[in-house]
Amino acid sequence: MNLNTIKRQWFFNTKQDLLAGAVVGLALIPEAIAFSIIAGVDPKVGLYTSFIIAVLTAFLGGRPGSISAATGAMALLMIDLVKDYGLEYLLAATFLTGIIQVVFGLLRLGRQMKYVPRAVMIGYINALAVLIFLAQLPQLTDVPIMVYVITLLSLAIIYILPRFTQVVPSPLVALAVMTIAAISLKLNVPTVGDMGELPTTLPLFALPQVPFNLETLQIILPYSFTMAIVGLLASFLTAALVDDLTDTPSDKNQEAKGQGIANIVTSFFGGMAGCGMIGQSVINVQSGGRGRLSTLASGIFLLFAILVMQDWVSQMPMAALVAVMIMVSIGTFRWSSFSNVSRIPRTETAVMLTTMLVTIFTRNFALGVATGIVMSTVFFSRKIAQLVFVDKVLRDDGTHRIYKVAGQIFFLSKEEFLKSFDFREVVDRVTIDLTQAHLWDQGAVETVDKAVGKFRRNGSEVEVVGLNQASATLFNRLAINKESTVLKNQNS
Amino acid sequence: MKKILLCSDGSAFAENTYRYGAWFATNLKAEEVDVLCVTDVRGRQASASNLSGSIGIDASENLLDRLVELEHEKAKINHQRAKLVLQGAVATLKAEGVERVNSIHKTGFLVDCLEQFETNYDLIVLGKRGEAADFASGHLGANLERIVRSSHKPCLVTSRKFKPIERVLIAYDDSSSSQKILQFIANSPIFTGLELHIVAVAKSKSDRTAIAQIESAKQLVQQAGFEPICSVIEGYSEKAISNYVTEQDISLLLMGAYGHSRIRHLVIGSTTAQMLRSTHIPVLLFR
Repeated sequence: MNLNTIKRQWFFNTKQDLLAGAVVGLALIPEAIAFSIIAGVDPKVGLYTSFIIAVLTAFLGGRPGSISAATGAMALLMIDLVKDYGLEYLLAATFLTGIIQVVFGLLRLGRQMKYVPRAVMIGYINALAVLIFLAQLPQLTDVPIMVYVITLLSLAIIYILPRFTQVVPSPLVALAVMTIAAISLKLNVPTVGDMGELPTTLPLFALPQVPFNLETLQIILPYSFTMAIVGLLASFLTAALVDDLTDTPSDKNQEAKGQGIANIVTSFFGGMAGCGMIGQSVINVQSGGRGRLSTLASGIFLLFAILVMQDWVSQMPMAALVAVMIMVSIGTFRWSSFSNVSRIPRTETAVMLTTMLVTIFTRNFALGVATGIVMSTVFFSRKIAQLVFVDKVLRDDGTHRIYKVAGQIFFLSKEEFLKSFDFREVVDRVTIDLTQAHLWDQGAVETVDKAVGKFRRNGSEVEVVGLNQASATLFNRLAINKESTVLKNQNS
Repeated sequence: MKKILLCSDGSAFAENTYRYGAWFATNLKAEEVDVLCVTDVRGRQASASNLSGSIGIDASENLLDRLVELEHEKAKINHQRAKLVLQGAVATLKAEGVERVNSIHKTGFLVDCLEQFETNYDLIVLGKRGEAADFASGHLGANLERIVRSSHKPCLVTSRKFKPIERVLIAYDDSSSSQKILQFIANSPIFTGLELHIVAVAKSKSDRTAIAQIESAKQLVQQAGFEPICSVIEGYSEKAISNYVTEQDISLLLMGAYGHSRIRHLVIGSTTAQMLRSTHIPVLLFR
């Protein structure tokens, strides 16, 4: 049985998975280096991270075919930590991030992803793309003119080559051509080797060298918590994207646990926290990768390539790397969220833009997403509150007024609800028919109560009919005017 | 009140699976035969093979559009194909004299589908290998072993060649599944008038327990009106039985399925799997 499950999960698409894994693994090299530079650590940190996380999530992740490694979203969060306290604290924070993520997985918080609206997700993705792009700008300011030439040429190769052949990874061709050109023409441009140490061996096991005390915890906890949330969000987003692309389901809680364990382990091998990668996962699916094997292969190809080609990699011009990252940022950005702006509800675009801008300016994805969620919730409840319809009927020669209310009544509905009644009208009896309505909270009961009170002050007898069971229970518990109100359930 | 479920995928085995299915339906006096065709989702997945690793504007949306388009076309073809397979099956079964034939078309994995289905049926018929035979390791179909293992109903595993059923062999080992075989024979009219062999495999021909076992089996079957040919043979079960099958020109083998423990199965594989591999006649498996 187990053998068959393994076969089904791992070897149903072997050749394609290996090919896609190779493409992704090689594409991970420039990204891992670039993200290490964003975070302010040696390129080897990002490269080890990408190897370990890719390999572990291949086995433990909940979404086969998605790619996890060192990412920009996480790197952006750790800049200050690295600047103020150094690499060892980053390793400790990575460890704690993993623990938090595993706890999230065990608590089954993966399901709660549904509370993040689509507009917020798109805002998040756009912010990510913009931040990846912005992180490249330091490499493009105050540099020799040659750097711009290399960047532009690389971009040209990346985008034009696939029109002729899709058999070789064009970003890789760009990197290779530019590296050879830089070496043979002896161009004086910054190279990867200038940015810090590259890996020369397999990753080695070591505990983070930090004092294990409360003070350390105080320093790393805020970072770890944000990284845990952002990492999970990115990983879930990636998983959802791959779900859509491959039309297969994923296990979100397993994904959380897998990400957590991968982060814990990577912290012991000198790696930084990572998470699911949107751009790389798209590349993986585009190259035909579907199973866990593709993720595993990407990690192994990455390490193999970097160990074999380290001399070449260190001479790679940074400008070519920048071009690859620009491609990733362009590919990640949701252009349709702007090009289709006329078709998208305005409130959703507002939410998307707010999420995006808050994230970009604070460089904090958690804050951006939280803002977006709050905004969407407010917009949504406002819309629902507006959907209250009141139908007025006059009966018995103008002595009996019936109000038929339809819609969801809750704390926001107060104004709309009260506005639709005419409290000045002189009638003997008033009936409020709530058959098509639902009272949700204290605010709703208070509102109905208020209406009843106002009618009574005007000398009318008030009758509330048609409450459904839940609403009636709430009303009986909370209403002040209930004794004098004739409550009638239409069914009884 | 017997119902038979016939699994088909339009492979080389399918045609004979229908004929065996029809034979069993007629002889079991089954009131209904349902033909199940499961389109494997793996076959539907579009193989995107753009290895350029370059992603442009709205990469994921464009990729999604393309994959949906590709898979839509593939799925359409697969559904068409399944329809044809099912039509063919129904036609063959009707021509063989089965009156009520229904066809069921599902997508997913056969094993998963079968779990929901099997409770309603008294016999499951499937071919030894399927169209996805290149997936299989060894000589058994990729689905077969899992189905036979997970199924609680008798499973008929059909062979590539169809031969009218004349001589039936029971591989008897006194296990609970062997008892079920005897019950099955006693309760149904299926093998009336056929030559029935019962064989027990033991270390030596004079093994007392084996002889006693086979005697009791003989009596049971005799009560049901058969005149069985009984014998105890020596050797390893797989070899001894398959030799017996060839020597006596047996046309159907009845045996218990997967009697041995999982640990043993991991090390040397089960007798059942080896029997299925080595015989070229249909095997009816009981649990």
